[in-house]
Amino acid sequence: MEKLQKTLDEIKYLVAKFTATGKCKKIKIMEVCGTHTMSIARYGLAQLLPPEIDLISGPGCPVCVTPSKEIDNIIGIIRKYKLTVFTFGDIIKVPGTFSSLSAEKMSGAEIRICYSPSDSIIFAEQNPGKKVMFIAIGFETTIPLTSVIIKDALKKKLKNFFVFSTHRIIPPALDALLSDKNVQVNGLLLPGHVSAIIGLEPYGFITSKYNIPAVISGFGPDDILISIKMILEQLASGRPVIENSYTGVVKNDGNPYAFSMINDVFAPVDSEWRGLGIIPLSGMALKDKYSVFDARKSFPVKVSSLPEPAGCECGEILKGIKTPTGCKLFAVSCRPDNPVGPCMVSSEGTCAAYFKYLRRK
Amino acid sequence: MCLAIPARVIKINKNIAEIESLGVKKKIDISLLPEVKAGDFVIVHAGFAIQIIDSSEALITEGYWKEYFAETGDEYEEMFIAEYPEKDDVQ
Repeated sequence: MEKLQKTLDEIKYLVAKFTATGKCKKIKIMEVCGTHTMSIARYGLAQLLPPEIDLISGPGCPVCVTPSKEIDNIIGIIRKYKLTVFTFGDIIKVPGTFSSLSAEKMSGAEIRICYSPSDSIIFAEQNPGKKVMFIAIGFETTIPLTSVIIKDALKKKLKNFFVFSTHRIIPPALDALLSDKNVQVNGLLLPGHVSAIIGLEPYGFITSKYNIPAVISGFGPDDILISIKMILEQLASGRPVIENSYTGVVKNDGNPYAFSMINDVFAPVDSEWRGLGIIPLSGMALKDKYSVFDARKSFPVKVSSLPEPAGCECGEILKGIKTPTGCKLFAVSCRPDNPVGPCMVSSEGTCAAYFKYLRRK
Repeated sequence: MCLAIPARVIKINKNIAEIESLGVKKKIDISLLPEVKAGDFVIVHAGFAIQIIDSSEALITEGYWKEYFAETGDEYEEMFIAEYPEKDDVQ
């Protein structure tokens, strides 16, 4: 706490200095990554900061930004083609508009939660009579893993292995968010492990186009406070740059080999994000040379989605326009045991974090 | 979702490495780090090493992740801890 207090004192000094310039009364800092959201809530960091600083959560939880229609589509495929499905635990409770993967599993669908994407390809190899689909979800941290198994599937000439890609990438989403006039952000805390892959360069537009400070941060409470301090220093100096405070893990050029694996297997396509709409070139689809493994092409379905639940504010929350406490359903009809929207389902969802740690600010 | 935890590489066999992380041993895939060697510290995301890290970073963050999993108590705990065999089982 002593260490935190020193950083907090420096933050208070910088806030006073910045607000004295009269440029703005409130300083809004968006944390882009769901793990940061959790950490901020766990340690009550929002409450420790001066009242002039508002921490707002962004679109950094892959499960939360996946539209219900996409879940519907996956369920449609599973019902029609009777596949063995592998995926990460976080997505299975997310409601589509008429079911969820966990409900399908309860009614007998073969859905397995995996620790590593490799589990799916090993199972496919050992069970040539079964059609296996891996539901690939995640940002740049996870996309290289999916790339490795798809390249492996090609090498092994697997005929029973498929990938349903819901992969999305972060920079185009930040670009779309910052260009939205309703979104007011003075600084960005950039995700640590996405940056471990992509490095600093892809974020260049944040300063060149929007003139906003941005700092790549680690996940401990002191890491986050130091990164906030660095954002304030940039605001005070009026010279925003992309900085990295997670230097023990994030290299300036990221992991170029992993980045090249992504670009070998996937190509960016327009993709819809919950709350943010269609963002150009923000989704990742399998390139033509790997299209035999593309579940979207191999298993066509027509699915009629139902309307989204009334009153759910996940979309506005993912843009940082509303906080969970501003949603009428929050903690009333939408609770972790009976979630209405994905931000309450995912362990890294903003609503789940607010609920669990009674975060009020 | 983008969690990645520190680990020390013990042994390497082709694309698979034996690692020790949060006090337990496990095998992971090192395809994304062709230059990694035994003794290096890495961060591991969903069964794959994704970056070589400073040893000091590994020590600082290890305690933090232990606390994180102990408290969040969700699928991540399953992913990173429950599936790790207890040390005694390995020997």
